Amino acid sequence: MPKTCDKDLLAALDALPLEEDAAPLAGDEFERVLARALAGVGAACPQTQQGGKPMKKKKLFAAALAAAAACLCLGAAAAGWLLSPREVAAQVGLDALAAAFDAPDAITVNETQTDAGYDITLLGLTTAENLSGYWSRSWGELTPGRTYAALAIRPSDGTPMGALDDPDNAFANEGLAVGPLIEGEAPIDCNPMMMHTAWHGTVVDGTYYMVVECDTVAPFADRTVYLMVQQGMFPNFSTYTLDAATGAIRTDPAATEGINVLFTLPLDAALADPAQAAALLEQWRAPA
Amino acid sequence: MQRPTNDAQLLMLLQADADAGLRAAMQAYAPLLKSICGRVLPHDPQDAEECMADAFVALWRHAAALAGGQVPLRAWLAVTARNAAINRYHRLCRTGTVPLDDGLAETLGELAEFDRTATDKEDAVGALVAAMAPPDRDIFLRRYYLLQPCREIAAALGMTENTVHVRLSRGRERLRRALTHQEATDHAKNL
Repeated sequence: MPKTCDKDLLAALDALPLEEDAAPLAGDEFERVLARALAGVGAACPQTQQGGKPMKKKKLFAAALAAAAACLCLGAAAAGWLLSPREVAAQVGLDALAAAFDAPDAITVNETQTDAGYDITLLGLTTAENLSGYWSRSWGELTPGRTYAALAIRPSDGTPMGALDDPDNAFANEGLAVGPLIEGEAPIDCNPMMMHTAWHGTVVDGTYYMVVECDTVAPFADRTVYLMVQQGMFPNFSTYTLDAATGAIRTDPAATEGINVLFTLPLDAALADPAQAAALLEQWRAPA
Repeated sequence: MQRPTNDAQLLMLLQADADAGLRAAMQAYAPLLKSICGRVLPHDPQDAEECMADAFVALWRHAAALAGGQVPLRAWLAVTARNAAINRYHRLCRTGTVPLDDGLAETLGELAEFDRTATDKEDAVGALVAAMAPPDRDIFLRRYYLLQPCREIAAALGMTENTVHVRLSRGRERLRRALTHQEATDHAKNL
């Protein structure tokens, strides 16, 4: 969590005199590091890919600059330089899913909410067959497709997060509970814990990226489908309120210490299938 | 845009011109980052260079957020480079491509121990270290955030290497006690 004490520590660190570190890099070493950094800047933008063929070094250098300039012109859409859903899927090792995020029916969201000192961005979502090998004995006869969402979470003040095996990473131990809630269904009775949800996470450049997958929620597209993001291994569903009149679900981020936000998934209403939705609800609620 | 004379200008330049901004950032901070990455990866200069580059790419990615915040850039880069190098070191150790460095392993083990003790969501260790009185604060920051060897710390602070060891040892014990007390206080509040 980006806390005041982190800033205090960084301020104390900043105040250290470090004259012994004043030796500059040798010319060729400087150029090697710079070229690699520029390549990294270029890699952050898909424009550096040319038909999937690797570029020669000189071209890469020029393309990195061009791509950086192109990205800088994208304005708010590229603000913060987050990975795309496709890149997130590739980073967590789900290459088949990476392609699914490029499918015509994949949805780009790029909505950011801020809570508990973090910026939580829902990057995008897609529905596809089972692409990660997840399996559940409780699927029975009904083996639905899967909904996949890509998210990015990072401290709002820019403090980089450590890798998942780094004790500094706030999510390494306590985890995050992420998954759908459905309008009209009480969160305690219908939540990600029942939807065969799985999470895949990694840290890239100090930002925590995750792919969450669960049984498809597309059949519920005629209702509001939410995506809950709550800090902690075991979510507290009592923080959500279900409006008995409208079926709307709300949460109060201030009611919990860590992250607690709700996104609304922009599903295509044409995909609604009340019969399959009812079957899914029955399966999710069946005793294990 | 002219050559930046402070961090605010540097962050503006990074957002406007990645090439010029990275060059300026490297001129200002590459020596510091090289020394940090080199301490974690002394036998792997290429890996150390890659970690430095990764830290500068992270700086470019976060330039907008950093420009609007109060985080000191020099310290942010130092911690970013440290984390990148430690991650690389762990990865190389797992693949058996780097020999386990006993001194570094001990330092990282102490770091992990602090964080395991600090079960609270707040960065209790960071807060307690920041609140330490000098010279203990400087010693801890140099040892655990800049990963300086005790010999270098002793030379920089004008004390013997043994004094550095003793102060680190006593400081760790004080931290443990403070963290235990804090845990007990938090537990009592929750009763």
